[in-house]
Amino acid sequence: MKNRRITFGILGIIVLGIVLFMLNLFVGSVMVPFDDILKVLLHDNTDKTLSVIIFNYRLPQALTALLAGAALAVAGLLMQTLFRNPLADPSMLGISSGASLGVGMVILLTGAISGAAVSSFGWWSTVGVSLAAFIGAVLVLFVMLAFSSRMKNMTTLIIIGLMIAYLAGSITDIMKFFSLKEDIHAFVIWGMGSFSGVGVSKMPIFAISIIIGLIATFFLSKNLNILLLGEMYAANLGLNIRKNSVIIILVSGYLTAIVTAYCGPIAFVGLAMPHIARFLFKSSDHRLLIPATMLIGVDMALVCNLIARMPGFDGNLPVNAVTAFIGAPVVISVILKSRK
Amino acid sequence: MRKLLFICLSMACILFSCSDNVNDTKKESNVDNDNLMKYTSYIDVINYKSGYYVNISNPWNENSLGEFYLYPDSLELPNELANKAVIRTPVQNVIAYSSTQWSVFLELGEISRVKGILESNYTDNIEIKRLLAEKKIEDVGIETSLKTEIVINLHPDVILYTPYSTVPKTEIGDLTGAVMFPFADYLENHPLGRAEWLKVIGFLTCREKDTEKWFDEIVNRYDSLKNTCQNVENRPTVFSDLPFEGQWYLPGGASYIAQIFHDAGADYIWSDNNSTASLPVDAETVLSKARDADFWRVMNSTNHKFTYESLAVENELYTYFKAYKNRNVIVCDIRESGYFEKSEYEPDLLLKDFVYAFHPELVEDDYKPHYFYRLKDEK
Repeated sequence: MKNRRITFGILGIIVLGIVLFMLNLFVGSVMVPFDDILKVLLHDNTDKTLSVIIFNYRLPQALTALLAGAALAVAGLLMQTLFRNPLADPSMLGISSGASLGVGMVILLTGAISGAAVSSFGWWSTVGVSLAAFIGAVLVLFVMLAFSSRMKNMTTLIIIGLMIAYLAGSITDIMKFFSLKEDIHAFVIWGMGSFSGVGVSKMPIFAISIIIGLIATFFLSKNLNILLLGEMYAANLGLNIRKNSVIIILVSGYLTAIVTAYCGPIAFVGLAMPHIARFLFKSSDHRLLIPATMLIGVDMALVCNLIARMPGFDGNLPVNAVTAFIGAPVVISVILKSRK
Repeated sequence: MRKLLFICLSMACILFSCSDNVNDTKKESNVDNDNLMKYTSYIDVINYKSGYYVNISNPWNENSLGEFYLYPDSLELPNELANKAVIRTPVQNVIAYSSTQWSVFLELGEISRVKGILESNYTDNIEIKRLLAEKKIEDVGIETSLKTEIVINLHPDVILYTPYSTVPKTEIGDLTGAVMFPFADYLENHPLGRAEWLKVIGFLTCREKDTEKWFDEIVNRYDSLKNTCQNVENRPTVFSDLPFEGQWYLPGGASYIAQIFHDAGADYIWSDNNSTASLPVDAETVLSKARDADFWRVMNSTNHKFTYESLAVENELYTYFKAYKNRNVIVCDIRESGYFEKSEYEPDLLLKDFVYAFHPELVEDDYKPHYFYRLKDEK
């Protein structure tokens, strides 16, 4: 009975994901008749602009949302299990703040150095933004790994992560204070997240990097299950707690760093999706939770991307605004239902 | 959660500021033949006894941003002005918020009246750098954080500030006793209207005859070039700017640059939009509307020169635009050209750059563009 429920549940999420993915291709600011899209998809296209919009704009954006959603959701799950804290999310390690600091240095400081706002970006700053985000994120990740390999206590680690986040945040604030309005505007926009930054040309590297990280999480499920028993039991069962937490932080941090580098700091997905997965499947087995969380993350990111680019809006809504707007009520209702 | 709140709030700020369409219909009551400003929307100047009455209207609502009386220092102040905001001319100690203000003082040879400027590290002007090094001009900080004590110590009589809809006037005026004078030049949407603000510096320094002549010459050059473009048979289409994070911030159809496109004999793709503010537009909308546009104007604010290759690296979507394929991208290297400091008072040169790009036959063969040039393929 339970197995059937799980199978149907997973299948349902997958089907929903496929439908959402197709909708992401069909719906956007430019209204396109359904027939024309089918023609483009079947390579029977007459209007070339349409095929550029679908293949070079909507498709990479939908793929980015799909991969980023899966990555952030599962990264959140890893953090929640490792720290045994339902409010843990990838940003807890300070990784998003590290990325923000890196991007702040590029956007805000290059503005100061070059003497003009980078609000109209040159290619250097666009490439620079992803690179800086990645470097910032990875540096913080290494600091956290260094601490985690020394410390047994997870609470201390959370505090250190939060402190690093505050530290990076305050440096970013100081830079913001001394920056031009245009640069701050650009920085704020980056901070709202966007799935449009990857594009066709950067898609292979983004996709491969994310998929490697996602595959890695499947190998962690057994150790994560053991961790749920508590650190003492886990240690008694022969689990090397320090080594294990280093690996979990590495995988989770790696996924977060890649997504943040390309899409900006996307909040909420990592925090909320594991809760929905646990509620839907009433399980704490990571062999199930890992794929389920990923798939729910995919669906969620696709819904958000769809809403952010609904026809009628003049432009893209910021992803972060949509994720929380859609996600928060879902999480509240899930929690209320599970309390009943 | 706080982060989310912050993000939501800042998003709201951005959304509102983007849609913050300024009210640019000039108040009818203020427009009369006595107005010494002919092209501006936000400032009226009329003769008042031996001085001037200046009214600066508020672009965001019906109120006035300020009413001022400019009165010669050599004459006794009329009694009725005792309780008004009076600026005695010529002004002695000025704090200038923007380079568009001090550059006019510099051009007039009146730069010794400017005692303090903001954001001095953003300027490349050699003369200003020298004066800063010699401490004849002080750097007084940035807009969000003025070095208040230094400003007080400079004893300014006038502070020329840049008005924003959201940023309130600072308390610096009360602390120094200086008159806070809103310099709303950047809000003007007609190139000649923006340039005409140089006359304001003329009134403040009692050099109005010189600035009048200066401005009239600009108008003559601008209008004669504009007139040669009005009857062109073929009006190329043009669109503008680069996206950031998937979003294009396009100039409104009634904006400054849209006016220049029009005067240069081109059709701006978003000309039917009558906003003066920038429009956030999704990349796919721009692609579908502007893909076949003949020209594409972009601003480069980095130190690196744009090339067609560098644009393609930034975003491969660019390569699908006709203007890209036909190598009709028009670039301004903001820093190298001194765009923000100088172009406001050289709208005729801006216009000529675009005419040279759109209709090269209307401009002399050996013309060298000042701000905007057609990006060429690297060999």
